[in-house]
Amino acid sequence: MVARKINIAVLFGGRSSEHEISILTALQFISAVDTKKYEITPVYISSKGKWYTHSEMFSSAFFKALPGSLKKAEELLFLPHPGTKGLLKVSSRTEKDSSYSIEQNGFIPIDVYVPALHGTHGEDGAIQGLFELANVMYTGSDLRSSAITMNKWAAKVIASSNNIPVLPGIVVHKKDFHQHFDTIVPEILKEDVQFPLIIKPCNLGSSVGLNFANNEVELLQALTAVFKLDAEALVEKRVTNIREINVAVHNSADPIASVIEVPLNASELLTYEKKYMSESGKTGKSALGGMASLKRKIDPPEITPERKKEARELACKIYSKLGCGGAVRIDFIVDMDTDIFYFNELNSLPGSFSYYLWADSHPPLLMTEIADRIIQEAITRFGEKSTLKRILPFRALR
Amino acid sequence: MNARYLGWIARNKMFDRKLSIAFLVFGLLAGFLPQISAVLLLLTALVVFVIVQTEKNPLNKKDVKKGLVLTNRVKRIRNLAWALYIIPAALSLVFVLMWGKAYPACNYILPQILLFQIVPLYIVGSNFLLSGQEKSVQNYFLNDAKRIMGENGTYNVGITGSYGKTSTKMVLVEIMNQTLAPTFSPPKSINTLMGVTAWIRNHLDLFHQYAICEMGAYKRGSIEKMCELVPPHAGIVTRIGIAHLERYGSQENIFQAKSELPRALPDDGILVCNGDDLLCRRTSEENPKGQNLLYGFDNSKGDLNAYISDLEYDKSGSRFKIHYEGKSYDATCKILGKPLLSNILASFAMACALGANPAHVVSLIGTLKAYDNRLELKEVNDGTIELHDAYNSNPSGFGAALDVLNGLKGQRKILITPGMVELGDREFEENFKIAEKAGSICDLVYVIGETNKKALTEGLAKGNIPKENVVCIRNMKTAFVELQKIRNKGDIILIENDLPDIYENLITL
Repeated sequence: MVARKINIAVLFGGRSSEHEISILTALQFISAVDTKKYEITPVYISSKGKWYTHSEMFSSAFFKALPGSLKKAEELLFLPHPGTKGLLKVSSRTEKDSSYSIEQNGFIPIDVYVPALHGTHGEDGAIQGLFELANVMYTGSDLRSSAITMNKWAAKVIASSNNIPVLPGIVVHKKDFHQHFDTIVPEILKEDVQFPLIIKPCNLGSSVGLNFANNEVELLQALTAVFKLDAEALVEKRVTNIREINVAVHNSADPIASVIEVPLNASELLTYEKKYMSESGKTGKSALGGMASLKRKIDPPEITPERKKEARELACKIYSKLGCGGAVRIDFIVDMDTDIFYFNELNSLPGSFSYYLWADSHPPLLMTEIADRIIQEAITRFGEKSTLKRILPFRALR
Repeated sequence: MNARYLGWIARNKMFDRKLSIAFLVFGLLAGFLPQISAVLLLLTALVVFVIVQTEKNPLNKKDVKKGLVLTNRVKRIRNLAWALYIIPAALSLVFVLMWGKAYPACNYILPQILLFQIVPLYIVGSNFLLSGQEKSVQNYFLNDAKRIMGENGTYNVGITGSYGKTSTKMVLVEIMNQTLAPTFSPPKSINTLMGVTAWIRNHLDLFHQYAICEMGAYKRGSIEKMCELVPPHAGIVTRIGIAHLERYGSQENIFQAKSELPRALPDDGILVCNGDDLLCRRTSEENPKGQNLLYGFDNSKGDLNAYISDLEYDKSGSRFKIHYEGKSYDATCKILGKPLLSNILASFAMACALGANPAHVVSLIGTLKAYDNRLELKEVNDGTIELHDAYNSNPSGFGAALDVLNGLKGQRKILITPGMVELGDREFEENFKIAEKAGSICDLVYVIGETNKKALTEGLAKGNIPKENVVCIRNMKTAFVELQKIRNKGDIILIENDLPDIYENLITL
């Protein structure tokens, strides 16, 4: 155990449609972290992709005043090579020739990076890849797991191969759609993939771009809409009489599942707007809003203990088989007609880190504890990785 | 530009009054009561301070709709104007020091009043003096952009017309990106030579295979210059109307200016023109190309290559059929109003002419959403519906918006508008006509500002709307405050056109 505070950088924002949700998640996380153990540097990634920090970033007021408030923030640089021990402050930058100079004494030492970035670049392996190149410690799922779980089709295939029930579905590629527009519908409607259907982008998070189709015209239109957002569309049979059940899981060494939650509006799948933008979000539990403030039933008594146990065990299995790390949330769909659980999607970096599920678990875990566990897990994982032998480059030039 | 600015000052009598009157009073009093001139000077300084503080500040976004952006060019003009201003300011001081005591009234009045009144001239003068340097800078950027265009080798589509350029461009770029290949296009309504130049230099990239350029023009020769920058292989002419008539001088000038795009196309190019518009048809006939396509609603002559029929709409959007090359396609979209659907049809025709699958394009049209303030329908929490058509207004668009308002089911039909501008000597007539139509449809109308008040109120009266249902309001903001007090569930409110600050809120100096 180190005798000093551990320096952590919490990264949030980013070039993603979930940019603002990420800010909320990060602020909740930062406010919960034990400051006796950790020294926190907030790192805001603007919607243009630049990295910034400022002492006022601990408060939401800074972000409500964007973009003007960024003028006082310091731009940061992260060098993607081993030996990078932290972040560098940029003292000046010339846009014309992309040159910049580093502030003297502008080094911020960082031990562990905590991405609180949702969606694109945060959950898809991009930021994780950057950390791998730099060989630094970071929390959450690693590069491989992030990339797999972000792709709904890949996650489905791996789950299915591990006997985890998934809804019948097919992936459609934009190129095929484009080239075979007039004949693609029969190719999609095979076997169990029949109307009504749900169509979504394969590689975007949090129910962004969800579309429904009850006939061919709607299917083509739904695919057209999805292909504006992604080059792969997942087409699945839509279960109309559903219940959504979510479970949070953490601890890669020995997965632990939280209580289950049933989001309200569970008669239909939650679109992005309903998840984050609903009126209920404004009067929810958390003053900072976000996923935490959505109305939900936590550990509802009408679901039997056996079903709850089944959901939690299945969640741990999925977490394990997909190689996850950190605190994730796994979403299931229950077909109320057949009573079958289906794995729907895995959020490797859920809004608010799903702390509200842990707070009501048995035993309860506060966000401070969750934060501590995922940081320590990152350190442990890095330590294990460091024990792996690195093969020296093959000498091909002689 | 300098001439327009000075003309605007003269027409609107934008001469300083407040500061000049303050110094006139001070000067007269100082002349009669020289013993307290120091006190009077302090009082005058206080009055000046209060005047300056209470005036609307064009740099403050809270005071104006569109604040002045301090670009480098604006800063250069401002800084030079200030530097040159030192000369008369210094001369004024010398005058006062040398002859102040002998002729106090004159010296405390004339130099200061003169200093206030000549400020606009210094802005103009500074702009004039810098014009050579600005021209040189602009030429450098322009030549660089031409080089980049040449090196990239994109297939270029130009879009021009009195109305609908931006809407057509926005739809076309989306269609082409999704059905053909990556397409470059300056965003929003960037359509000036230097605006497009900047976008090309900063954003045109290796992977772009197509480029769409909206070509705006206020005089003959402008589009020709744009075509030198972005040599078009294909072009769309949306409509040749009377927008900016006061700048062009005549409809024929507008026609010739817009025809510069068809003329610039190569012989094997593609020209898509609005078949519902006689002048568009004329330019198509005068400029035969590899493909000349006409689009529109009225296919009574049977010569439209693409046309829309069976149009229906409600608050969820429009439903219609698109006919193209002997086939008919059922289409839906959230966009309302014939002018906007006409623009969509223009984009459809161009995309198909370039090789897109018509069925795919129709499917894509189904995913289009209303663009900002272009007959955008919003359902409000209080049970009312707002139709936002504030982006721009012209007789055709305004008329179509009223048709949509009339066609939607609701309680009261409410219109908020300052009318249309820049229609030259037809401004009164066009505003009168449209107001007459509005008077026959609307239950309540808010007339904003003074610019078209007479034409609108008289037209509304002719349309038989009761006089008490026509409310004249100073500005859009106040109109909304008043509306908030009386709006009821089921009301449908059309917000038509939103004039720039210089029309709505003339700053009195």
